[in-house]
Order: sequence, then C-alpha cells, then structure tokens
Amino acid sequence: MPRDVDAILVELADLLSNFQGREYSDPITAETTFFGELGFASIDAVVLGETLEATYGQTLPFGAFLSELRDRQVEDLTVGELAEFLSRSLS
Amino acid sequence: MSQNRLALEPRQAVGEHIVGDTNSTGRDCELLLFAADEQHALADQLRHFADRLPMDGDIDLQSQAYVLNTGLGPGKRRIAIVASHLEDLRNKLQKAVSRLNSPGCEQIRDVTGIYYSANPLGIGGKVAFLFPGEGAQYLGMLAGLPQLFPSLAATLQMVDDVVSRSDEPAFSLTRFFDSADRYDDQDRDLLDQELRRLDNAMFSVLIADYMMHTLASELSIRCDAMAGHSAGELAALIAAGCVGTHDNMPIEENLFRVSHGFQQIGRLADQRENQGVLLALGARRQIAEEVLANAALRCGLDDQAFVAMDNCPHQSVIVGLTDFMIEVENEIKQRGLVYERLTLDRPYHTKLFAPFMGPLRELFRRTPFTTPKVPIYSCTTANLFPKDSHSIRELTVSHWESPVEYTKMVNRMYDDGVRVFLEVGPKNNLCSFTEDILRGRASLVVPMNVARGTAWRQLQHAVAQLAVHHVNLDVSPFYQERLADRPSHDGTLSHDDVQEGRSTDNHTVPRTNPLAVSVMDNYWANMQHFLQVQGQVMHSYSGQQSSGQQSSGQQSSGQRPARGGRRRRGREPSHNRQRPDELAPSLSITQAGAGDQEAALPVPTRPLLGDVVELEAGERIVVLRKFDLGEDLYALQHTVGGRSVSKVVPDQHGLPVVPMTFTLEMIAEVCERLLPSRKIIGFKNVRLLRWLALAEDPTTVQVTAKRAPVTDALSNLVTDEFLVEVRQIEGSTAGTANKWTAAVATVMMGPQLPPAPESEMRLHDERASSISLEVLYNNLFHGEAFQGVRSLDAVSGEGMHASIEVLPRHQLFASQPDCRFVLDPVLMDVAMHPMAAWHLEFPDQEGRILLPVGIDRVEFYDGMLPVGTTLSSISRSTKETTRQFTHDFDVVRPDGRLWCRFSGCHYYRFYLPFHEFNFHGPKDVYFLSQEAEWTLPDDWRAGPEQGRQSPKASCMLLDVPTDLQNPSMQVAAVAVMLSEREQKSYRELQLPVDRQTEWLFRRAVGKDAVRQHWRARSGERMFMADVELEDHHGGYFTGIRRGERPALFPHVSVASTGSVVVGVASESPTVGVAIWQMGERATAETGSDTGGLSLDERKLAMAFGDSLPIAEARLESAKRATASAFRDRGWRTEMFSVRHVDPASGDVEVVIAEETSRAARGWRVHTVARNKMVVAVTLAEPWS
Repeated sequence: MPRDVDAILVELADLLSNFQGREYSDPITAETTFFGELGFASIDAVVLGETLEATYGQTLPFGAFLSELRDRQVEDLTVGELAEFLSRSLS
Repeated sequence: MSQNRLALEPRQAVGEHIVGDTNSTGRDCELLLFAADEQHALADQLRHFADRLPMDGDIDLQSQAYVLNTGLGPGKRRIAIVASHLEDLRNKLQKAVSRLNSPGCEQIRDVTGIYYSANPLGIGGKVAFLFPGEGAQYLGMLAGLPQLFPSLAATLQMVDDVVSRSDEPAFSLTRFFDSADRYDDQDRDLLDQELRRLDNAMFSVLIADYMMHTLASELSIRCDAMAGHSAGELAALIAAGCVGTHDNMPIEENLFRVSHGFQQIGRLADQRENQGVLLALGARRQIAEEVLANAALRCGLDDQAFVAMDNCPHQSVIVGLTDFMIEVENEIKQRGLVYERLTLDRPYHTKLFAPFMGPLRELFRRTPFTTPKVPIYSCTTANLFPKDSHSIRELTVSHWESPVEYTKMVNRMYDDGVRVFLEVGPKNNLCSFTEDILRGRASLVVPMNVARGTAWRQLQHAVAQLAVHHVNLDVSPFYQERLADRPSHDGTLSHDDVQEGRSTDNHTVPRTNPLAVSVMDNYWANMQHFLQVQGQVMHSYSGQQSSGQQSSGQQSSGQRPARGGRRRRGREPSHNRQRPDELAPSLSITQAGAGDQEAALPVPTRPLLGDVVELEAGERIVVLRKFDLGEDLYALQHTVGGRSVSKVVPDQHGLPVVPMTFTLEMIAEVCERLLPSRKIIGFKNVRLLRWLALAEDPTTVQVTAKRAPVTDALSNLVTDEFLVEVRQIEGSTAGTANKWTAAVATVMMGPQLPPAPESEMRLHDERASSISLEVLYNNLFHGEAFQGVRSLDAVSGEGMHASIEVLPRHQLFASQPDCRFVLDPVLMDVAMHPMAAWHLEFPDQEGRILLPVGIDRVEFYDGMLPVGTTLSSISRSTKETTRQFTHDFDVVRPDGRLWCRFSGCHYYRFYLPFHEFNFHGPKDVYFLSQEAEWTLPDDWRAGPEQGRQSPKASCMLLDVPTDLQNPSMQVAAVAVMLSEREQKSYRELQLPVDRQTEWLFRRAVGKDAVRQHWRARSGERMFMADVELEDHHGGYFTGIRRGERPALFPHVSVASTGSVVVGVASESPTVGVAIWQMGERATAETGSDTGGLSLDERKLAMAFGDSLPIAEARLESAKRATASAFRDRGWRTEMFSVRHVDPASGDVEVVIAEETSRAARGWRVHTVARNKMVVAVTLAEPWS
C-alpha cells in the first residue's frame, strides 16, 4: 500500500530543513524546489537518494527517477514530486 | 546602447532606492553584517536593530548595508543577513535572534540568508580559490555583474575586441554573458549551440573564471592557495601569476589564443572515427573501476575506457570508445547506479587523448611560465606545482592526458590547512564536489556564482559566509553609489545607533573597515564611488551651465566668453572679493589661548590658501577658497579631454580641473597656516574622491584640518599630524549647500625636513625610449605651463628615467605672478609625466588613460628650487590590474639626492579608444571611432581600379566603451567634441541619461564619418568641434562646418544598436545606413521601425548562406537604410520591400512596396554580416 504523500511531505520537510549542514528556514511545501530554493546541486541529489534509502530502509529506483526527469527536461525538482515518487516506491 | 545600457540607468539617489525591487541590474538583495564579542551580545544587537526598524513603509536597504558593513566593529562573533526588503529583513532578524539565543547554537547556515559561526574558519585556516573548467559555462552566466563592476565590463569589451581582430571573427563572447531572458527561444537555442562549440566553451569559462577572479581581487578576498579542475587549471595558473604573455599580450588575448588552439585540436579529433563517450557516474572511483573491469571482462577488451575524473565520492567521469561504452552503460544500469551521458565528447584526461598531445605541447611551448606568486595545487599530481618553468609547462600539458585527481587534491589541500574553499568561476560544480569530499570535516565551501537566481544575489551570499568566518575582504566595492560621509539623519542606522553605549569617536573620516586588509590597499572600489559622485556633480554642473546659476554674492564681470570657449577675466583674487560671512554667516574665527604663539607667527601670502573662517591655532582650521578661471589660470593649462579642440574657436578646450598636486599644495598651505612653526614633511593616505572641475561660475572649496595622533613610525622628525578634508561647496540661489568631499589626506609636519637620502630606485634592462616629447605631450592634456619634461632618457619594463625642469610660475594665478608655494605643485605634477611615455611604449594601449585616485605616501626633502633647475624623475610601475596602476616616483636633485618621493600613487584606468593618440590628443587627428571599410562595396572605394581618387562614402563605427559612457568622462567629451551651439543643445536635452549618451555618440560617430570623408576628398583635417550636424531626424544629418557649408560637404546617416554606432558619410544627399545586432531590438530612436518581412522576402533571404536570423536581418536592415536615405521625403521602412538579392556581393534591391512587380528599377543596398551583426548601407544608386 503506497505511503501517504502528505505524511511523506512532512518527513521530507523535516529532513530538508537541515540537510547535510545546509539549513532552510522558510516553510517547505510541495512547491519548494530543490535546486532553485533549497540550493541543491546534482551531487546532493545523489546523496539525498542514499539518505532516503537509509531513512526508509529500502532500495529506491532513484537513478531511474532522475533519468526520467532529465529526459523530460525538467528544470527543477519539487519536494512534492519527490514525495509522490517516494509514495509510489515505498512499500 | 543596450549592451551597456544598464550601466547608464539613472543611479538612484540616496533615499530613493526602491526596496525589494529587482531592478534591471539584478541587485535584488543586500548583505548586512553585525559583530559583537559574545553570542548573546550579538543577539541583543540584532534585537535592538530590529526594534528600530520602521514598522511600515520602506528603508533604503542599500544605504543601510553600506553604513553597517563599512562601519563594522571588531567583534569576534559575526552574523550576516541577506535580505531583499524590509519585511524579509525583519523576519530574518527575528529568526537569527531566536537561533542565537538557543542553547548549543554554534553555527547557522541558512541558505535563505542567515549565516553565523562560533568557530570562524578564516582564523587559522587557509583560504583557497578553486577554478572550474569546461562544463561550468552557461548562457547568461554572471549576468548583471558587468553592469555593477566596470572592471568586468572592461574585460568583456577587451574580449570582443580580441575576437573581432582574429582570423575567425565569428562570435561575440559578450552575448553569452547577457541575461538569457533578453533572447527569444530561437536566439537562445542558437546561442546555446554556439556556447557548446569547443573554442567558445573553453574561452567563455576561462574568461568567466578570470572575471570572477578580478572581482575577488576587487573585494580583496584573501587567498592562500589556488587550484583548478581540468581547463580551470589554466585559469588558476594565470591567476597565480604563473603564465606570462608574449609582447605584453593582454591576458584576454592569451586566453583566446589558448581556446582557439583547443578548437584546432578539436577539429583534428573530429576527423577521427569512434571518438568517445563521457559518462558521469554517481559513484566513487573504485566503483567506476569495478564497472569498467566487469564490462571489459564481458567484452574481452581492454583499454577501451578509463576513469578520466575522480571528482568526489559521488561522482566519477568515465571516458571510453563509443561501442564499449554501451557495455559500460549496461553494467551501470544493472547495478542501479545514477549516471548521465555528458554532451562533451573529447577524451581529455585519458590515454585516448595522446594523439593530440603534439599540438597541445606546441600550443604551450611558446607560453612563458614563471614561479607562481600563490601556491597552486596540481589536479594531476594532487601536490603543489613545481617552481621551475619547464616542470610547470610539462605538468600543465600532461594534465590533458592524465586523470583529474580532484578528490586526492582536495584532501591534500585540507591536510595542508585549507579550510575555506571559494569557487571562483561560474556555477558551483566544484563546490558540490568539495563538500562531498570533505563531508563531516570542518570546512567552508562557497561558490561565488550559481546558475540560478541573480549573480548579485549569490555574490552577497558568498561574501556573507566569508565574512562570518573572518576571511579578510573588503565590501566597499559593493557601495560605489554611496557618499563617503553619508549622513544618518534620513533614518539609516549605524552600528553606534544599535550599541548600548555610543562611541565618542569624533573622526571625520570614515571608520576603517575591519574586514579590509588595508583601507588604502583596496581603494579601487572607492574609485567607482568617485565616478558615481563625479557623475552626479557633473550633471549638476551641466544643469547649472544651462540655467546660468551663480553663487551667492558673486560679482559678474566683463565679457562672457564667446562661442563656447573660456576667456580670462580681469577679476579680483578670490580672497579679496568675498567676506567669509557672506558664504557662511554662522562661521567665526576663534583662537585658543594655548595656540597664541602659533597664531602670532607671520605667514607668507599663499596663492591657494583662501579665507580662514575658523582657527584654533595649532589644533583646527577651516578655510574657504573660491576657485574661478579668472584667477586660477593654471586650470586652463590642465583640461581633461585635451587642449587643441577647435580651429574656429582656438580658445575652446577640455574640462579644466584642479591638478591633484595643486590640491596637495592647498592642503599644505592650510596646514602651514594652522601651524606656521612647522614644515610639511609629507602626506600619507591621500585619497582623491572627485575632481575639482572649474566652470564659468566660481567654485567654493572648504578645507578643514584638525590635529590627529602622530602615528608615523618611520620618521622621528614627524611631531604633528593633521587630518585634512577638502570639500566642494556648491552654492545655489536657494542657499542650500551640497557638500562633496573631494579629497582627504593626513599631513605630516615637523620642525625641519629630514636629510635628503640618495635615490635607491633602480631600473633594470634599460634602453633608449622611442617616445618623443612631442608624442608625450600630444597624449597628455597639459599646457605649456606644465610641460616640464626635457628628455626621456631611458625606459625599461619596470619604468622610466627622465629629466625634468623647474618651470616658471608667473602664469599660474592672475593676482600673484610671483606666487610663493609651500611645495612646488607644478614640479610634482611634471615628475609624473614620464610614466605617460612609459605607457606609450607598450603596443597594448587599452586602459592607459589614467586618473590619480590616491597616494600612499609623499615625502619632501627640500623646498622650492630655482626656476630652470634640472632634476631626474625616476618612476616605476609596481602594480597592475584591470582597473589599476600603481606607480612610485623619485624626484632627484642634481646632487643625486632626493627632492621628493612618491610611494604608491594609485591610478584608475579608463578604457577609451586609442588610435594615433589617446583621447586627450589633438582633436583634428584623433578619431573616436574606427574606419569600417568592410561595410562598403568595393566599387565605392578610392583607387585606380575604381577610377576615383576619393571614396564615394566613408564609414566609421564605434562600440562605445563603458568608460566613455560614464557621466564624468562624458562631460569632458562634450567639451571637446561639440561646438558651443551643440553643447547648449546637449544641456537642454530632456532625456534619460542613456538616451543623452546615445544622442552624444551618434553625433560623435557622424562627425567622425564626415571628417574622414572630407579629409579623403580635400586633404583637410577637421576638428570634431568644428563639424556640426544639422539634424533631419531619424539619424540623418547634413554636415556643416561650424557656421558655413562648403560645397560638396558630406551628408551623413547614423544608426545604432546596443552600444554600437555606425555612421556613413557621402556627398550624396541620399545616404542611408542601418545596423542590426543579434539579441537587440531596433528602437524608434534609431530610426528603425521594422515592418517585418513578407513571405517572398523570407524566401529571398534564404539565398544567403547565413543563419536565418542574420539573413533576414540583411533584408530588414536594407529597407531601414533606404528609409534613412529618403528620410526627408517622409518615407518609412514599411513602404519598402526587397525584390532581388545577390548573395555573392551582399547587395539587395529595395523598391517601393507597391512597385515590386513593376519594371522600374529599385535601389541598391549593400549588406555585410560580421560578428553576429549586420550593416546595410546605400547611396540610393539604381539597382543594376
């Protein structure tokens, strides 16, 4: 059964408010962007994938997810999109 | 002028800054710094500050930042806030206070803009600059920064100049640095493709690195080590002073040569099959090697792919042959790893690049390498670069066939004590690698630029983090618009305002910025402030000229100068003409009892002393001195922009300004009056904040000197020091005075001058100078009263050795023919002239118009010498950056001992067009613009083949340099380029600043075209000011020679786009020109009302082999040029259409649109495409 997106959003907001020493004090919502607002670089996306796997205790198809975003030429990833991905992927 | 239009936006005056407005320069936020010794005190400070913010409305955030940041106290703990508007500031202050007060808070690194560290890494930790390589460049990188920092704009101009002179002038690099938003999708895609070309990619990222390093230098950010990644290593080598140039080739040209070399290598690589595929793998090197090993095992092939880059634990780059890489990708996917195929396809940093090493070695063979001035780490060996040039070259070259060992290198740097890593270049790729490598270890990793948001914003965030970690830097370059003595009465809060105890400091000079290594070391930022202040003053001056304002109480005498010149007037000396209380009734003369002895000493009459309005002998003095051209005759011998500017009005000249040395003389006279028992031993920390320009109406200056503690440790003869401030008071009929600080200095005095030592200044490898005195003074704006260089004896790469003479003084002041100076300001000025000859010795004349902005130290060893005494001037250049030269001068008496020594004379560099002479040269020889014969068809030129002795038309083109768009330089340009009638028209213009600039330079180029064409026809050289242009609207002018129109005097058509102006002159009354530049949109002012192309015209355009936008621009421009030619008939662009094109010649037939199908012949328009620019010219000749 997929995890609840809203619950995941709350968890992500908590994680991202201080990720690897980088803080973000404004409200983190589904529309918050990783690269534009949270200041992520591409390496951070890889590290985030590892962190999420460790947090949720399972392997996630993060590589495929990022590839798909690239193929769609998505300029930035939102927290909401990540939450939906996690909701689909987590069992 | 849109390329540099943003630099011409009216600067918002103090108090008018629109808070929170993302203005066109991208200055959308401000950094505010606070400091205290303890964390809780810092929190209290923030709370007090927040309490004093207005509850509603706005604040001038930029002014607030300036006051806080330049007045920052020495506290051990610092916090930085980056805020966009008042509400944002208030929120962040609140969050910051809460965090600081929470237990265990040791660090805040909130990317929204709050930074704090209880353990600053800049103390005890080293700072390293990291330079990114190819792959970091992106369209719109650094956008907005050139508009805010003239040195960056100057670099881009130089770059475009280098490119335009190359064998393959195919692109303008500047386009990649403009904001991507200004282009439509089609243009953006085109530019993206251009940027991916190897030479563009390499060149643009190296130039971006260079520009960011320039900025880091302007901010005086401390640097203990450098390193670069891949091509970025070249940038690091250059920044570390490791790479020399040939024949004083500018760095930009050297970088272009290197980039072009790589392009040649790339072309060789293109000829080979099975090039290469690059994959960025989201895993460490060990995993990458396992992947490659497994793929090799499956294929049974070896040496097909290699790890080219070990970037960090979460990224390696693999390069391999195309077919093999398919296996590699399969292996990666099987492992579920994150990866990405890169668009780059060169097998750099692997054995696969070996075949191309020969050309690379040759490319660098001729490049001189020297020992780096800053330690630089190699991304090949992960150790420091060696010191000998051969080894440096070998390592630089071998980097390209060796893997990039970035992870190892960063670890090594950390082991060596580097704790702060600053990425100096576009994007933040290296920062993300470095953070990953150092994860969990105390470090600060900061990018100066990121690809999102404005470049200014990231700069604020970067400096915020550096500042809180106590990395030495100077933020004053951010505040070039602010006055030096910003009053606080408008509500701006200072640190004193938020401290619980107020400071009793009474210094009148700005408090030293504790962030700066040295205030004087970083004075260049102040020069930009100078220019802005100067610009405001110049506008005020221009306004006064047109309104005929006069200072209160002034006596108007005699005849007004005729026709734009300035005549000498028989006026009384200023100190006899006006009582001080008429100027400032509240001032009074007082004398303290303790100074009675000083007060009683006699003081000789001095020419620049003025009227004493306040005197506490030996302690403090205030003097008012009125300057006017009737009395201060020397100013007419010192006119910015030149002296010989008109044949019709020989008296017309450039802008009279008080020489720097005369300002020093005035200060000396004031201090002598204050303390007559002492002698002037010298000056230190002289800063010149604005010119004292003399107009028709008198200018009043206030000089204030007050005692300061003696701090000079170098000479025990200094017994007294005084801080002196020179302010210009501009009187107005309303009685409100604007006070502008013109100069500040510290004067050292003592009972006697020190014994004169011998000069120790030596120049090496001297040779005879090739510059004559005539050439020297044709490139300076000094008249005969200042022309004291007698011979240029020897020159070296370091400086100049010359003979100078003490000149007569009788023609300097109207009322004092035998004036008695304290110093000898004429001799001091003359001593600096030989260095102008030194600059002329170099083939590269870019940025050699110099304006003095400060002196570290002047020491005197002797008094005035008899007229005719010959001395030596030995001068040496000690520092050079894009915006600065620093010179030292020794003035040596005949006995070999010093008369005077200048140490650290700082000059600001202006980049103005230089042809036969520089901007100050004789204006009948000097052309501001350049011949652009390439725009004209061959059959219009002069020559036996064409059967004519003079051309049918002459074309001149100018890309208006940023520096000439500066209001202060423009005033000088107006004085020397325009007739009196035109000057009046200019002053009466009711246009924004940028439109006024456009008006001026369109006429300048038009005049140049007329002069060039007239000279070709008649042999006569004409002065710019003697050519007037009768405006027929829309860029079409009739040429007049100042009051008369000779037969066959040219007509001229002028067009402009962005900062590029083109003018075509011809006897033909139907001359027309149009210009188009990629990314620019024509405006009504340029007379270019585009009607668009019809379907048939678009089909015709395709016959040209250009890209579609350029081909279509040819036809559109052809129609506009025709409309310009027939402007007097009222014909407009949309009335025309194109009927035929001849791609071989570039000619286009333009007809009246409704006559397209008729047999009547149309008109021939010649079009040329070059550097993403199209120029169309016509004489309305029949099409054949």
